[in-house]
Amino acid sequence: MEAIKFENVYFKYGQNEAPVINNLSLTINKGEYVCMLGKNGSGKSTIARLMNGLLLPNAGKVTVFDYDTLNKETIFEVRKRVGMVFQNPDNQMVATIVEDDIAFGPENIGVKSSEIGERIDFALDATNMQKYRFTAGQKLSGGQKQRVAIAGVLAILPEVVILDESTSMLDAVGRKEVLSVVKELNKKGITVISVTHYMDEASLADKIYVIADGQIAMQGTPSEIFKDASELTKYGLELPKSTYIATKLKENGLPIRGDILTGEELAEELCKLFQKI
Amino acid sequence: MLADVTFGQYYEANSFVHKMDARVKLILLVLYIVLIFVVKNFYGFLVVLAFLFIATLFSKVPILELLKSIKGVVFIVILTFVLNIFFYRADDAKVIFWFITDKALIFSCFMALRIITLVLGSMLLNLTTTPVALTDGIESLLKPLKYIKFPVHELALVMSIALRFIPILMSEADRIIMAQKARGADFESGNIFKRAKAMIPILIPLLISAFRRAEELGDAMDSRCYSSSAVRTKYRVMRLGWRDLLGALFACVCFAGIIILNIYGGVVS
Repeated sequence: MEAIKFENVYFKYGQNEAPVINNLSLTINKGEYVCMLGKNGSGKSTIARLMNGLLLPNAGKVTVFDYDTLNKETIFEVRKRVGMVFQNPDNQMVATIVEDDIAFGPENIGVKSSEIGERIDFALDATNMQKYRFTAGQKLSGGQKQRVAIAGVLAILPEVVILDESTSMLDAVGRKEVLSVVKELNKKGITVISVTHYMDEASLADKIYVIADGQIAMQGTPSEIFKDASELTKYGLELPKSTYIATKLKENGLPIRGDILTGEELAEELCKLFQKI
Repeated sequence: MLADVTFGQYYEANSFVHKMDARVKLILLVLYIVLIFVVKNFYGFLVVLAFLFIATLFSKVPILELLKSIKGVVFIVILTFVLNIFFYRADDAKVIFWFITDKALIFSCFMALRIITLVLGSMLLNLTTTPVALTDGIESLLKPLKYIKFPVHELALVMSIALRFIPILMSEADRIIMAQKARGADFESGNIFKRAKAMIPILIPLLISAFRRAEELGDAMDSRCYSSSAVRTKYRVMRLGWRDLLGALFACVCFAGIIILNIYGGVVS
């Protein structure tokens, strides 16, 4: 089933400015884990904002579960289905206390008071944050704050969760926490769209879109995309560290697989290699 | 210091007063403040102090913790006291010492007492109620204003967002001050105008950053289906309980006592 569909979308921020999104068409299916890669200014965040009606296309059409984002009357139907987590963990919390912040979304869509408690439970469970229900957001770490932001989105029971560079302000530990939550969500059937410039994150996805100049420059599975390092460099990107190491070793004549994506795979492969020697 | 702002002066405890509804406490505080300015004799003040003392006992807040709050207003209390001694004039006042009249002395004492009891009473509310509960209470109490199109919900949301961003903007200000100091900015020397002018390189980046944060927060709120016109529900349902009834009853008895003493206890000031 199609979750989000772009048809010949154009978008520019100002009347006289160059278009940021140029005749973009793409389809994201329900349950997919999609990653948007691209250097700064490539238009990947703009694409994310077009997906839940924060920005509206100048030409073309964006449909979310058959709702046109241009239709003002159904914009809340769109936003109920597409939740978005932003970059700065500090700028997304509305309330001081974690549970009040998570309640914000359900309150907005008119969920009954008695049911909001259950939704908070559910969202805290899904993000593994039960312990912090009554904590002040200010006292949490970056990774925990982003997990609260995800919980706040989940309490609306969305079908799609968009992460707009949500890990870029986190340390390695925080990033790992957030990514493991996201992976779990995807396993439960939630469509995940991750906008990032971290290659290691992209290797978790089912499908990668490389965005350059507001268009899709490359698309495919992670191993397809990372096969060709020279192509990636053209779009201002580089290989994930593990893939980079593997390809370099291969270039230097070691018998190692070229399609390695994660650190674990690399470690395994190196162990095998070591035993052979 | 930052965490202090988040919770205000909230003193965590599980007490009768803590469990009372914020709305009831707010109304009682308003009545209390009106009354301490109505009190005309020392008997009335005895009841005020007794009420304050009993309320503090039932709140499990250590009395010393409460008294600490006077520290901030000592200057104002002294100033009011001195000014009143100087400027209070009454026709039948007797000079008891130098130029000080008996009436002026009594009146000044009353004013000082009023400010102190005012601060202690308000502080007790702050110590026993979280800022979240307070904003909820204020929103609920102002609800009737909705009929004259006053944006009650928006006001409450603005208040709670302000509360939430105070610590963030404070740490941001700290960072900007350090950054400007690192570039040789001088905030400590010169007269008051020079120092005020030196604040501009702090305020402008802070303002810009606040706007940027506001924009991102706005996007996040939009994404979470916020709209002020829609029929919103509330997660926290405020219910009046037996504590509210009992507390209000006790307060009303005290307040009635104050009024009666005020009428029959004579006028001292």
